[in-house]
Amino acid sequence: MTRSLTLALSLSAALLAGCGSPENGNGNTTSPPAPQDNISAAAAPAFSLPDNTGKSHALADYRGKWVVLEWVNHGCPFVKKHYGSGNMQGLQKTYAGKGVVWLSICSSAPGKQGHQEPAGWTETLKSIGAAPTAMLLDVDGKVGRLYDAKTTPQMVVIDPQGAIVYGGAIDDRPTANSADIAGARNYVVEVLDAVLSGKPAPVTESKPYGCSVKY
Amino acid sequence: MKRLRHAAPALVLALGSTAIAQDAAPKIADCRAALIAETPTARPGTELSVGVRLVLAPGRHVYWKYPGDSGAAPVVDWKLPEGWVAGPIAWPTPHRLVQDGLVSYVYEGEVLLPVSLQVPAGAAAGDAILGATVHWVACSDEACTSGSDACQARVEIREDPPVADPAHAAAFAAARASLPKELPAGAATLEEFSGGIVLVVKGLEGSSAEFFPSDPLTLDETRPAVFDPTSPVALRIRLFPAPRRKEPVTRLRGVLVVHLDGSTASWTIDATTPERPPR
Repeated sequence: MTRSLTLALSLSAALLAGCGSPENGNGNTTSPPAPQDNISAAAAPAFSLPDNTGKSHALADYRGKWVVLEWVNHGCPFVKKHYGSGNMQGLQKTYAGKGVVWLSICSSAPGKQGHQEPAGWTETLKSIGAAPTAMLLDVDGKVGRLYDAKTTPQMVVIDPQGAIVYGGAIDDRPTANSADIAGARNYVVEVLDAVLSGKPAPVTESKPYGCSVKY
Repeated sequence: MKRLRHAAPALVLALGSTAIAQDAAPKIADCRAALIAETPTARPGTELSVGVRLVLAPGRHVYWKYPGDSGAAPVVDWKLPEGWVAGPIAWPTPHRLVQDGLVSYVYEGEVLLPVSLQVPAGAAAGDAILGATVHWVACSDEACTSGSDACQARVEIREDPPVADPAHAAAFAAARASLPKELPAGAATLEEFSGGIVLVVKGLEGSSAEFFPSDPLTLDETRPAVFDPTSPVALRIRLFPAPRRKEPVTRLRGVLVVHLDGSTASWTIDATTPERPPR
């Protein structure tokens, strides 16, 4: 599905550009952001947001559990990379099975890419098979700014005591190309697998990549 | 298709404009890529200069090799005849864009990304078709889109000296003029001061300067470079380490942009602290 859409856009662009038929290539020449292990664990700022059904979720409600925050904008090519491939939904399901709370957050302002009314969100989540614990709507962007969310996707892992153990990118391949998922070093997987088995997080910070959050 | 209507309105619009609404004004693509050759002919065993030209819709930008807080640089997959070898993109100096407190290094309007192609010595006379699939991410303040354009250029292989195509001469000249220049070895060094680092460049004059790092998590990019006008023999530019960074910045790579009397020049920087060479 993603491929056919990419094709549609590319064709339209190609017609205007005088370029020929598009192909899906895989040419990652961008150097990966180096993880930097020098951030000390900081307390995750408290927040409370409504989900797409109107129910309110406070971070404090999940004290005692591992929590993942994931910033999303489903129009963003970098988010589509991870949802069109099923990568993000797979992580949500895998770690839900291990008791991890997964909160997707959209900080897009009304009128900007990624923003939807609650009913639209319900339909979107269903149609893409997203399985977060909750889809939180940060319409005024306050929680995004509280966490200094810069990109979609951007990931935060919070320990059961409420301290941030990881913040940054989902993986080390800062592209919008889903072919780059295979072979990427997935920081969220590394962190969760380590901490859930009682080990320290192998990486605590990386440079997030993606679209700018559309505040 | 339900998901698509929510996830990708621009894509559906683009599809509609070409497949259905033939009589309506076509949607302007956020970014259009084309491949152009500087000369319509090429000699075997020499280099041919080509460029990936990107034309952006108003308000959209594409990204430099180091994009800043968000975005990603264009990626080119070459499809060249046997024996041809593509060099790296020579990235023109971008400009710094701050939106919503996020810093990006971007091109707007139109940009040509020059690339040198090595023509094999045994290239046969006649037409050669050069292919480049250009993957781009283009963003505005409101939205980002991506696409892949498969572009072609045709050149004739012949022994005569190539003559520049006048249609593209201005674009190549402008791209070359905006490429960062190389400094003499040892001209740029780093010094530390209590609040950050000073980039010291001997032999340059300027009245203001900007610095675009090419490595992430090095500098606090929200803080513009501070130009120190006191030294008569070297440019001194104060820069500030990335927040939460504990290690001192002992090596700095990127592009220095120097302004003087309304003109601008840019320089490739790879500077280290003299006491502490890079590990």
